[in-house]
Amino acid sequence: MIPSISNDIRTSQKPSKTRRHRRSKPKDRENLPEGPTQASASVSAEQLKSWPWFPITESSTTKHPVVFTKDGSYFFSIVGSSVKIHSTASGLVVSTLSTKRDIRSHTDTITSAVLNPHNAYQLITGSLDGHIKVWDFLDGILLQTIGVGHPIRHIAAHEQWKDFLFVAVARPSKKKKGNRGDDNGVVLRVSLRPSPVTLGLPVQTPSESLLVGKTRTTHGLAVSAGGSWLVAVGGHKAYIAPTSNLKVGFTKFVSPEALTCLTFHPTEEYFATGDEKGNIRLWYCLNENIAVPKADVEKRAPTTTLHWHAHAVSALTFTPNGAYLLSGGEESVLVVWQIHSGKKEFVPRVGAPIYSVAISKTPNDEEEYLLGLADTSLVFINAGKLTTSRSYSGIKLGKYPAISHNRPSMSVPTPLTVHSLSSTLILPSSHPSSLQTYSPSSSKVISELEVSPSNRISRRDEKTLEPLRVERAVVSPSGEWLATIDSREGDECFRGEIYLKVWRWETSSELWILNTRIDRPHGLAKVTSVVFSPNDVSGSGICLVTSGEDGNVKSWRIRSVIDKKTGTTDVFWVVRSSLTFKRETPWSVSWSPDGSLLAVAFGTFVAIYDPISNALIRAFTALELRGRVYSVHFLGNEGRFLVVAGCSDVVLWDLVEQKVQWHHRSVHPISAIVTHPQDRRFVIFHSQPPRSTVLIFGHSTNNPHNTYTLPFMLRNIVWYPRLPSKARETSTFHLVGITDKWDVVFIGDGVHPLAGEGSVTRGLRAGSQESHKRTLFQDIFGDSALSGAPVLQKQAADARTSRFWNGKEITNILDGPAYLIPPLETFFDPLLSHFLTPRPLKDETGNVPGAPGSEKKVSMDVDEPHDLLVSAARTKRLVDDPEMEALIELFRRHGVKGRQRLTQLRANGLTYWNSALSPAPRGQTSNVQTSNGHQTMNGHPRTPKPKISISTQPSTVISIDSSPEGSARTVVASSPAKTGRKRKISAAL
Amino acid sequence: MGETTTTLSVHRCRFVDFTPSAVTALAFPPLPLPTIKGKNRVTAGNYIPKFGPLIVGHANGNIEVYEWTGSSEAVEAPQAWVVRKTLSGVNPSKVDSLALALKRPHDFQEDDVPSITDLRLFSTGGGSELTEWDMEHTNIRRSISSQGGSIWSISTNPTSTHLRRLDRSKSRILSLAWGPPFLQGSEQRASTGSQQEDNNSDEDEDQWHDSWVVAGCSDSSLRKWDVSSGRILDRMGTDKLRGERTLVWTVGVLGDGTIISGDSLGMVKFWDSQTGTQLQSFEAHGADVLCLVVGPDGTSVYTSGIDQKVTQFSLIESPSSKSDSSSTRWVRAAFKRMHSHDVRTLAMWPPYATLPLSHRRPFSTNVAPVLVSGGLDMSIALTPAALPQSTIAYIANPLATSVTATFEDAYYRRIAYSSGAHGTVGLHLAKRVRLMLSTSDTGLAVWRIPPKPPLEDDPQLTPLGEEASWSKVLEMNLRVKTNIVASTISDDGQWLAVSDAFETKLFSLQTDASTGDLKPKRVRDFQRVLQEMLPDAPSISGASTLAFSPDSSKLVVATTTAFVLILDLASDPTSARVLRRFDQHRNRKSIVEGRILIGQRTKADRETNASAQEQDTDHSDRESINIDLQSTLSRPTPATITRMTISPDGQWLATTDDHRRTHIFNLDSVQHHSSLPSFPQPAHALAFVPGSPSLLILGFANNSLELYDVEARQFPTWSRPLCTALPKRFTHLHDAILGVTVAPLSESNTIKGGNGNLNSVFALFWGATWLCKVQFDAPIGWGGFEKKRRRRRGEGADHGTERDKGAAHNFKLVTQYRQLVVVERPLTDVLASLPPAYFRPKYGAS
Repeated sequence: MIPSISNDIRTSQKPSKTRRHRRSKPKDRENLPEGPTQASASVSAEQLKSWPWFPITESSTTKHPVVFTKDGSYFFSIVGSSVKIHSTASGLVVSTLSTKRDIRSHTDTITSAVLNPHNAYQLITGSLDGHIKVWDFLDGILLQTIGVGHPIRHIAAHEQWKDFLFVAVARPSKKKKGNRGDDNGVVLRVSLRPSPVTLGLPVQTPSESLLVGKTRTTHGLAVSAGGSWLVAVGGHKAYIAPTSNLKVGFTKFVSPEALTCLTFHPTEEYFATGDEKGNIRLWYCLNENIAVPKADVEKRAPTTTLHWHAHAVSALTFTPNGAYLLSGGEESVLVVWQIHSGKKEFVPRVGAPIYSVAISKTPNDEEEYLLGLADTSLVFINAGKLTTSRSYSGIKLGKYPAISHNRPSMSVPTPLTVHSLSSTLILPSSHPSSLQTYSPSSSKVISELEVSPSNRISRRDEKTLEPLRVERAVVSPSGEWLATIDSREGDECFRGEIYLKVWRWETSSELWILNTRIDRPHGLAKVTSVVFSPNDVSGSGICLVTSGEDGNVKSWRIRSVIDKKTGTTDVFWVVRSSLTFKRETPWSVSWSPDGSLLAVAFGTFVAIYDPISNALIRAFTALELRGRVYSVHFLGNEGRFLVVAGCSDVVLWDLVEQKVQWHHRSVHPISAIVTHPQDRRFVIFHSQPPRSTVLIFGHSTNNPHNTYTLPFMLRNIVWYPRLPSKARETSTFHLVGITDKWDVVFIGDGVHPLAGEGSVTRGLRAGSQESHKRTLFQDIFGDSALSGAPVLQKQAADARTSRFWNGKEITNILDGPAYLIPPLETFFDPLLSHFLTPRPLKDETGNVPGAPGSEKKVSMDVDEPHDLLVSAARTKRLVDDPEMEALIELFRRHGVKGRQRLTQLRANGLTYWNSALSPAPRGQTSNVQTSNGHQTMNGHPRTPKPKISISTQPSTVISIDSSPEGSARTVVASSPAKTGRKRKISAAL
Repeated sequence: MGETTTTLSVHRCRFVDFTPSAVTALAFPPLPLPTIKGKNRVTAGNYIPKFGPLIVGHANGNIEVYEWTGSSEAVEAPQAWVVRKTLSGVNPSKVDSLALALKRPHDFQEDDVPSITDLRLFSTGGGSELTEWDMEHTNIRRSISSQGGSIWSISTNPTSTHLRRLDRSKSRILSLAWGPPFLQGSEQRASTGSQQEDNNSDEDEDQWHDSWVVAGCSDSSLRKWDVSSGRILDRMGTDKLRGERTLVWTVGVLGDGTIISGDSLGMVKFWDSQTGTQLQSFEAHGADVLCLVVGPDGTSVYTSGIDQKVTQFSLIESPSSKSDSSSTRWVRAAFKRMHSHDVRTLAMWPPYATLPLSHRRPFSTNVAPVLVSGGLDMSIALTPAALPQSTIAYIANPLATSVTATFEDAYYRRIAYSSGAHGTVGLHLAKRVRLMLSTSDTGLAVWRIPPKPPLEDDPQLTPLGEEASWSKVLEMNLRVKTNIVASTISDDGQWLAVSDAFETKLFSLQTDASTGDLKPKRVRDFQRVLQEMLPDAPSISGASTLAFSPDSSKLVVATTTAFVLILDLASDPTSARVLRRFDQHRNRKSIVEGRILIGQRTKADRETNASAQEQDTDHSDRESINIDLQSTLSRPTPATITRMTISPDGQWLATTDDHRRTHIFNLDSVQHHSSLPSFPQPAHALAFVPGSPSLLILGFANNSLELYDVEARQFPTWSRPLCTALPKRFTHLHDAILGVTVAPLSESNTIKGGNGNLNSVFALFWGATWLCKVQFDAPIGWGGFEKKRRRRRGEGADHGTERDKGAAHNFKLVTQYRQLVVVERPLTDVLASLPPAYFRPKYGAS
């Protein structure tokens, strides 16, 4: 059960009201009877202990491109003060260097990382904390730490210079500190050998450090391919020094624009820079007569300009053969320049501004470009096809400057919900019009849902268009429906827009498909709450209730229309009823856990309705709240108590006794209330900038059970059912929230950081990389049955993205020549399932359709091979219950695959059901019609709490079969928004 | 004007449909080849050649000779080149290509820069005629017909002995270039069919010899001929689209034999001439490459064409990181878009001589070379084009456009067009009857300016956009041999004189009372009257400039042969009578470095000399000997009288010619009055001050001023501080003075000459984009330039700055009505008459 979420700060006028309340509070407090409430509320926040929490976003991104290992099987990406080692094949993090737990790690942001040119298994990192660290990344061991003393910005190394590094460090200008800050730097040549004095110390100083020259703040530092030139760029200048004679210092060349990035040609002695106006320049100035010392002359170099980018160039690199130059920037377009001709190709719409470009050579010699995007995702581009081949991303949320500029203030509600079917979080994404689904268990973003189409890039000088912003997202308890509200404020040019969209979960594709869009559900007024009914309300299906500032509370229901031509059923949402109360504005809606009552906070009243008849059962107001009711929540799972919250008061209302059970007043305004779904407890979050106070209450007393603090404020917080917590007691709270800094955090008793793979430093040698390499033998015959277990698991994980064979294709495959047949294991399952269609599974009661009437009816009409096969098997020997259990278990386990496969078997012209695998309890009998129309199968209620059991009441079967409603569960869900493809959902038995 | 007591109302005319002619060819004179004997002479790297003359060919057949305004001391010359004279083209004709050759290449010193007198100018105009021009006499010396078809391209060889002309053959040859000469002189050279002139037969071993000629053809190929044998040595094929021939529009040759070609696919290719193989190829332009020029030291190449971009190629050393051997290769370095329409021609000073590397002339890298480009948008763009490699030291920008002088970063500037020949203004006013005359190539038009309502609080600048208030009262299309050179209209609107290079025509005008239109009536025997007075070449009676006296009683004709004729119109209403012929401008005086030296006299005794000239009383004889002058006259020196002005009281006539000589004549006594010392620059503006009619204002091409008191025959001493210390803002204006006019004086304030009371005298100088008021205040002891109010007003409030850049603005002052007529020609209007330019959207389909 997901309780409805309430944000008490909703509109702009309300915070002012809150302030007024707060200001008048000291006076009120003296008048009011003092109680233990006061005592608990006056406990200072500093004395309180912190509630356990941990973030699941890594909110930092770097402009440094990823570094590939020599063999290309791993790459290093810099994340804040640590370096993540990814496997190139899977993109997954396999290890982390410089973790936060290690005291010897970098303490500040790592700015650059290079492979040691003399030892391909060593990674050298430089950080703003002024330390250079040398890591053995195979074993995950820190080998050496060298302190330079100033924040390091760039590191360059070349194999010509063994044990030496070129380091660009920031050196704050001595004159006025506040004036310019540290926009000056120096470039040093630093020896990696420690000085004898500091030989044994943890932080060593270099034995030799040679000042090459002063620069502006560097934006790039590189050594030419031949090793004879050192180039740094900063400001409007390129600084060039011959490495053979560093004492000469830098020769400065002037560029018309401020330079932003630098890369060297892999074979020839020239380099390329990008600048703020989007120009790319190739500089041909590295020759002997460079070092003519002449002061006060702005030197210019012969350059070639390549201009496509309209915004600053942020990433630049040559391909290893030197024929192409890759560039990227804010436009989210990768440009591939053919240097010889100046022609260009594009990879558009990579998803977010490009921060870095790196080139990998995968083991099978296929070149791939790896883009680091502003939202921390990594995108692989196939160099041959120039298409996106893979992409990996963490949560696209956080304080990235490129995408967080359009984040709203705290007063705008933030969508956050949990989808239980896919066990994912639905979060706001990098763009306000999008949502992302994130799987905490695999630490991966599963998909991105573009709630409303939007234009993502605007011209530099233009005022950006205000995009439609997703404000609320609610998932129905069954997990089948998702309701979102996206809106845009109107201004002088545009009318305001607001949409209620209902999305349906496609179990086969694991995507949300837009089902219904309702324009302006409450006019142009804001929607104050969106709540799904807990379950089937009075047999009319699931119900959605919205409330808006126009004073209406609307309930929406599913309507199904049978298309006469195709016989399919369209399902969509229509308004069912609308109710108002005394011209008050509804602020919050809550369903009782059984769905029999609907509580609405109307102004200062709380009204209880019968959701079926919309009859007002009771309306009450609580004097203790002193004003408006902002949220109501049913407590526990029996629906007796109602938590009613004002701006800083909470009242527990007993519906049975119809009185206030207790009242609690707090000093700080309430920001959120989350109730425990089972227990009669709830949590109140007080926002107390810059932190929050958390109070946990039970139903019995107004003394908080526990009081905690959190070092952040929360934009939204919801109950998270499956927190990876050691403590499994039901009484603990597991919450997930979005903080004011746009971090996603898990909060609750006894939460632990996700012990995800790769978040710790570990050796790579025992890693799975080598085992993933497939031998020729495996390609032909598939994986060995003995060693197949881990691989099988991996494939199950990858199954989400990979494509499955369906039956028709398999028959085509078998027609082809033998050497073209793919590995057996890839199509074994589909092939078998093509031949052997699984029999409808019996539920736990083990009820074989035993009634002679129905059995006969089925066997008469059925001539499908699967039934024949199964029944033949059954006639040979009786299947006893344990064996059946085992079979059920077997099919369950392979259910993940089977589910997808079976729904696609319709391609044969037959419709099968995938009964056992449908996770949603349906509790309704339905029939499945094959396409030839004469075949009717009887369904079995599968849920353990059947309402109508067909198998035991065969007479009912006939009546349902004949009734027109009975076949209504064969459903066609049209997905108008996204794909336009129609998918037939065969309902469960 | 607002600061003074006088208020001028400004007529802003934008209706004059004057259209300048597109620039079709540009040429710089070649530098003489280095002598082999002097090869070891240390010329060092700091050789700064003087800036040579620039020859510009126009689409209407006119050829303009531009001269550098900079002095020998200063490198920078903000006005750059100004028009010195115009060679009026035969009508109809056009100039397709120009070639300059040295007259006596073997006599030339190595470091001398050829001046106009040292050069021979050839041009072709699309027909089969090859024309050689006499630049001194401003006429055609001879024309030779090619026995074949039409000539497409001409090119002189590096030794300036041969001229190669290309005409129609099996495949049309569109462009050509000479290969580098070589030194072995033993070969017998046969003159090819296109040889212009026989070589000196007595060549010694150390002479430069021509090797080969390369031509770009219309059949997607380049061909290389051997000069001596005329055989085709090589044929190099370029890219071509399927089924279409690629036209190789332009070729160039470097000293090491590298051939550069630009073709209609927008490709610029570098070829090895030895093997005929392509070295490098660049997709440099979006459309046809029409022209290319090689930088002075041969390490840069500039190309341009239909896509209006000028692309710079640069030869760089590219040391490979793998090997130590450093090779050179060409890279496309930068591009600039300076024109709004097709770029037809490029030229560069100093010119590149196709010489082997060992003989390459080292130019100083401290002065940026100047790239000149011209095209269909009629303006000539000048760009400092220093190479970025040479930025190791300070580079002077000879154009003074910006501190930086590299091609990529420096600003360019345009030479404004002038509406008349010789850089004068082609507009004339009949002040009393409010008529305005404007000439085009072969026609002229007269507009009537309506009187302006005398509003005292009227804003000074009233844009009169409605063309309805301006009526065109006369439009004539004349049958002329060449384009019109000079024209003028008398102040009372009775007379109109117009002249081409060969004939001057005089019309008397009658006003139609009903419509207001003018009816011209040609004075039939005017031609005869003139020819009677002219000694030689009786067929030529054309005038280079014409002027009526303010009372319209006299017409002054300065013929193309540099005679000054004073004609009386008042005695006979139907005809004219020549009063006197002066030939002071034909005098050959000792010309040293372009300056006239009158004997050995110093500046101190100029006044006495001038007074001595007064004694010149020889009126009518044809010998026209100035007896005072010590120099003996053997042969009259050709000169072109470019400007004349007559003082408001009709007493004085001032004439100036392209040899910078200025003479003053007394029109009342019809006598030569005095001659002014020659100035370093040709005078661009002449005007007498109305209040003190003997005061002559001279404005020069480098925006310097002089004041001369005609009666006193001296430069007034009070004017010295003004003329010697002009503010930099004025002298650094990028457009040279086009004219000067003096503000009217109120009746109460009439000044009777002298230098004591010039209180309210101010002059308005104007250039193509500016208008400047100079007040000659407080005769002695006025302190400095603070009092000198200057105003720069090239454009009104309703016009963007950029739009008016390069537009032809002509200004004229009508003193009697205290009205200023400002004639502008917005560039956009001019460009609107052109065919659509090549345009490619920046984004979108490509």
